Amino acid sequence: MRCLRRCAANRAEFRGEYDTRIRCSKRIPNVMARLEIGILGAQILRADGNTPYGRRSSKDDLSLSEALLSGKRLLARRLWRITLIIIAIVGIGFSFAANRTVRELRLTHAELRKRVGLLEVEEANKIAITHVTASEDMIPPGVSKAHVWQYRIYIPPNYGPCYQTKQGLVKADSPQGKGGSSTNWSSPQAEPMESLATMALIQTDDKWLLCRTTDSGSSSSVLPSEMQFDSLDDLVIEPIVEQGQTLVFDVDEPICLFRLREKELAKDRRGNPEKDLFRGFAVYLFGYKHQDAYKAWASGQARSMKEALQ
Amino acid sequence: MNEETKSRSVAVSLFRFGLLELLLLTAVVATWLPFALTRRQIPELESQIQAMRLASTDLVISDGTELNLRVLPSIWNNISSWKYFAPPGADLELRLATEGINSVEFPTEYEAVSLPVGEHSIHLKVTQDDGGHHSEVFIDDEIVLQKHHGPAWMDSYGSSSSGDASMQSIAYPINDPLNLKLQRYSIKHPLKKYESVEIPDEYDNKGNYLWISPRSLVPDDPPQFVTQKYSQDSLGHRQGVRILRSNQMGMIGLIGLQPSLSSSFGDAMHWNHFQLGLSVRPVIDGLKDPESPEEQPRPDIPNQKGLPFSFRETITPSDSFDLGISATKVTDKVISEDGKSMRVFAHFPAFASGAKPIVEIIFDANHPERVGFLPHAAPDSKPMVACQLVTRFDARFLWRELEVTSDSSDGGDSEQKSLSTQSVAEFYPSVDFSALPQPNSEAPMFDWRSVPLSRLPSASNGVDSYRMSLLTDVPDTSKLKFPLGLGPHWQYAGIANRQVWWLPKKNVTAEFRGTDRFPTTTLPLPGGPAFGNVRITIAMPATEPVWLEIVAETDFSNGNLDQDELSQDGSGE
Repeated sequence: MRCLRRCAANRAEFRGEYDTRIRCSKRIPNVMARLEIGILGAQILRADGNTPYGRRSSKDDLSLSEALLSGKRLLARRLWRITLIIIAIVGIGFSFAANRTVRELRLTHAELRKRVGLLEVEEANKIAITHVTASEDMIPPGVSKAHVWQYRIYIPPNYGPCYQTKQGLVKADSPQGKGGSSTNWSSPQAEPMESLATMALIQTDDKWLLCRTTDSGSSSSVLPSEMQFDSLDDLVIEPIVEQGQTLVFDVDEPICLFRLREKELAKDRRGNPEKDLFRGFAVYLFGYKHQDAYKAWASGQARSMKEALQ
Repeated sequence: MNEETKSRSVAVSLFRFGLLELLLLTAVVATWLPFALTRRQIPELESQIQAMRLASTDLVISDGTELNLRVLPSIWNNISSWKYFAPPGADLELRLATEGINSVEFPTEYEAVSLPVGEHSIHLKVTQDDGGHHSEVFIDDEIVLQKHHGPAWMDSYGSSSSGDASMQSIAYPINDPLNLKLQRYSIKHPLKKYESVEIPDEYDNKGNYLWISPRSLVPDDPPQFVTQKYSQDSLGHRQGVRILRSNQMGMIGLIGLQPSLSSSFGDAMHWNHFQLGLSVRPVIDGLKDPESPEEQPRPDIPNQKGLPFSFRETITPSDSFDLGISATKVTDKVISEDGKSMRVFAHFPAFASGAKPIVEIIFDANHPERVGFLPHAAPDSKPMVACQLVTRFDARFLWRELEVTSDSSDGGDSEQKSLSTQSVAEFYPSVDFSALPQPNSEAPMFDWRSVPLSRLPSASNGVDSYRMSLLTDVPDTSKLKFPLGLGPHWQYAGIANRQVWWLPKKNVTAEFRGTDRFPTTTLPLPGGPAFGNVRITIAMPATEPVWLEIVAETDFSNGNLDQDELSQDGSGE
């Protein structure tokens, strides 16, 4: 501001001197041009012949054009300074606004992360799964009771998620078993996507249902009336991932998203224990391209999916 | 100092700066750098927040003056949930309908409840049990709407659902209705086990339709007819026969007929194919054979056949012709003021002879299965002696018998006479149909046979007319064994029906031609010969339309589908 005031004072102080010199000049016949130059020249010429930046050398007897050149320089520098100041002030404003936005987003992010869980995708070509904490208001009216397990799943490009629920007698470490199954699949997509998969045990009309809901589709089936799920303490529950974790899988891996089974081996009609089979259910995820290998493994034709793939 | 040096000096001096400029520049960097770095974090944070919100039950209210709503994650496919915020003063209703569901208008019969303002959740629970079908709507934890139907209400293997709401929180205009869920049941196939029939979107259907609407908005009755406003590729009755076009090879130039759903229930619709075609053939004095539009060289593509005609709103000739099958320029202007009829004009480009027929196509609200044809000649057309309407692809329906009165020599009113049938084979006594035709052998060309009009029953269809009916002897098409290699679009899978023509008694003649092959193939028809084509010749200038109807053997009331009737019909008894 001080600089601007000085500039204005200089302009007023030297206008008279300049005008005198201009009138003597025969090289600038145009009156309008004189006025124009006056505005510029007045800023740099003092009455004693010095510039605002030092005494004028006798050798450097500035011609009018040189004086004007110096004036341009001064003006440019002042404009340059003013511009920098404006840019800095605007930058402060923008930084403040951006910081405030990010602070609010971070608060929301932290709060959601605590409730929902963050799905951290570090390798774009692998499947990443994280657990979502199911809230009470996720259970709608019309449902007496429910146990809910929910996952956020990163689906890499060209994967094509297939979800299969096996129900009845299941093994503790594979999709093999006896009983029914239902499968939903999506064709592979060129773009990666995030999927929300929900497994729920729902009690309605005194029946317990097993429900699986994914982007690919949904299925529900009635569970045997002998199995009660009011308390899950006597059951073995194996979710794929605990809250706060993100697990990463290769696309050719079969992924057991969830397995719920009794602790004791199931018994056949004669009361003898079934070999390696438990009452319960399991939900598997596998890739569209590997469904044949998965089926071979699930049907017992291969000891593992890896073997089936070879 | 020369000019070059001077200018260089000016340029240098402009960018020369001292300590003050350096400090200012540092300040600029110090203020903008954090902004740039901070700003880079925003998209990633927003993306992660958005993804996390999808998995949560949070509703973000972006506009407090509109209806903010999102779909909630579902834990059971029988319950759909939404969370909404309605601003104070919003006069909205939540409406539920289970019948009369179509894509054209909101159902006119529905249950409704006021939508509370503020933030609430809506849940729709749809279940089936031995007691029937149950639809219950909750606002928060309270049941506010419910519809219950008995077990016989619907026999379905599944349904299809859609909705306009998103998993993301969105502010929707408060003055517009918002479709929360539109669920349409598919109906069990009347003849095939474990198969369903998809009901076209424009037809009334059963299901569950839940939507939010301003209380003042009362749905209009759905229209009787569909034009391009509702249907991209077909015109006609909303719940009845329609006309369409195809750019499939061999079908260009033919007026396609899509019978009413109730007339061919169970038959699948194949995109770009129509179930029955109609060829409009001008008869010119001096020409031996009438010209077929499907055989005419295509004007826009060399070495291809088919005259691409246009559907237009008026009889006024047009110079432009629609090449795309969905480029129909027909709006609701074609519907009469009372909404009881609709007239569309099929404009043909000039045939090789110079004939330019225009066919007026008439739909009558009282007869959803019926469509009328009245040929005209364009003003610049070569004079036409007559115009022929020739059906195509009849053989896929396996119509084999002509309905005739018992004997024309008995005298008296033919309407009072008893009706009998005469098979196609009887019109070709010299042909031995006992030997099955060999697949891929050359199909014989059967001659045209005149229909003995005097033996047809009389009927009144506005004017004194003959009624010509072609009947099938196949009550259950699911028992047919189609030859290997036959395209699925030639395999009729619907209920038994008949082709009926209403022919004015003056200036109209009728002929037919038998065939023992599927249309456009050399594959034999199972069960012997059938009608391959019907040819109606109308003397020009024509004054009265001829009417064509494909009607089910079992009577359906105005296209309303009744599962019980369908089941009975499907049994073929």
